[in-house]
Amino acid sequence: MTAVFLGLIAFSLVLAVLSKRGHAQQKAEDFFVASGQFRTILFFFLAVGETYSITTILGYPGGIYAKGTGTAIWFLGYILLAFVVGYFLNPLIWRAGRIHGAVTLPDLFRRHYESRALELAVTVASLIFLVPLGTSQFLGLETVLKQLDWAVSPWMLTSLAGVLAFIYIAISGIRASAYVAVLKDLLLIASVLLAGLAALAHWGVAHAGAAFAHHIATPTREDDVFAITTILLQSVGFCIVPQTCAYIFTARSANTVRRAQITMPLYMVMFPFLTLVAYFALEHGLAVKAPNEVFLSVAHLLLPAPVVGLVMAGTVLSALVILTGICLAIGPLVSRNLVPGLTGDQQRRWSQVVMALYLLLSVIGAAKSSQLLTTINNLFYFGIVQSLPGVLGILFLRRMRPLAIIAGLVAGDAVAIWIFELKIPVAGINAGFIGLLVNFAIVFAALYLSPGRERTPIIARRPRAAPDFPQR
Amino acid sequence: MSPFLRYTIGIAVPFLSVIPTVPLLSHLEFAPYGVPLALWWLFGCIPLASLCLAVCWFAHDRHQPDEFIEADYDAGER
Repeated sequence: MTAVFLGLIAFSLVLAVLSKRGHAQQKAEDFFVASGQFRTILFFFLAVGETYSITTILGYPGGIYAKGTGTAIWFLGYILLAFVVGYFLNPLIWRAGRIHGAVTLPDLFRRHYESRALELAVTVASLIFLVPLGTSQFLGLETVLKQLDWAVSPWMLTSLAGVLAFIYIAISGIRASAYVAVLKDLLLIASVLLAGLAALAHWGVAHAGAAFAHHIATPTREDDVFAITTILLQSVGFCIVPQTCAYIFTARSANTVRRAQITMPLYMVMFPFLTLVAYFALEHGLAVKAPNEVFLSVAHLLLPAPVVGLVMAGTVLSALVILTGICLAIGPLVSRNLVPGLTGDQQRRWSQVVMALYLLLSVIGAAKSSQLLTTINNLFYFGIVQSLPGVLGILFLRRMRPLAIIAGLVAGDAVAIWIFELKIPVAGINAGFIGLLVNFAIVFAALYLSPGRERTPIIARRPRAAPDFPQR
Repeated sequence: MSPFLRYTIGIAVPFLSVIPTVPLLSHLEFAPYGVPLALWWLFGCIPLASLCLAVCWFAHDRHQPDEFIEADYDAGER
């Protein structure tokens, strides 16, 4: 098991080194968004790699194990519809990124609205809500790595994982992330299919049916409301999270984005198998210390040791790829948006310092926290999605005021956190959704009552193709 | 394909297949092979979403000129 695991991790490093071929002297934009050169296949693997984190492989079956089918409904629903929304929205975000020469979402805000204050507000909000996401990846990593039974403290193991994530980034930025994502995506789907099929084989279809029937709980009205509002909030929010924007900007053209979006839902074939794993654990009374350990416990129980090594490598890489994505989003948020006036080389160097600090803080955060992974996932979207009215303004509207967007953003975040932290009863409505409604109310009231100066939205800007690119 | 049909097939059909269909189905006690019907339906929505997007692509978007835009990243440095 250990040999297979270490071999695959070593292979991921080889892939990261290979990604640097032909790009020895990287400029900042190549480091962060590959100079927008990725074609459909690499873009697809990067996008899938940045979508399915360790939260998916551990948190999804863990959520079903702990809370029942309700988790499955909102979790699957929002990811599936995020691809649908992305097919239409992401090419526009890509176009906005190209027109404005953006590497980050706040770049778009600064260039479009010509407002440094707005850039700062979006940057700070993104940074605040990205922090728990890194922690969630290290929580998952801790769960996986302690199964290796090495005589090393979990803290040391997660620190090593953090170092590995940093090495990927240091080699060639998002290019390394994309190459490692190819391996990760293949290992992840193989791991889930193998574990799910093994569960089915050891169980028998008849038994499986009986087990599912035992664990059906009729949802309450509050459960329904939570599922619907969470799906709505997160399916749209997914398109504007900082790491999604980072990979959208790597695409070579708008159709590169569209082609990849069509096939992305098909990768979700792993979810029926993950569901099977969760119910297998429930029916067989598998003793787990924490719900997040369900997937690995089933893999250990049913698969031969070398295959468990493969499963563990896939799971670890799923966290590492996401961590590289978050780091590559956070780095320029600080070195480009928070601190103005740095040259491209300075941006790249300072980003690496920021990324190292972020990884360190996340490791420490994971050592202090034990929240269910899916809860952290919800918390992340509460805040990140509050940039939505401003993004819609960039893409579709003409007279939004930067000040109104800032007010909406702050109010939306404050309301969402207030409801969540004080556990205020809101009939099951997702706290972030209520925050977003407040946010929209402020922004659109300002748009109606006191419109700002006219700016041409991205949808109305017909791009002129560069003459050396082929036209279809 | 008209824009109306494009948005209907590409957005309305996948969204309506999930919301409010899935929460409504989850109230039914009918569970083929013990699996709640809502989950079966949701698993079925996965290929349906890809199919809807593929229809939009093959019937409309692939016939439009692609966009290639040179970005001026340095304009962001102050």
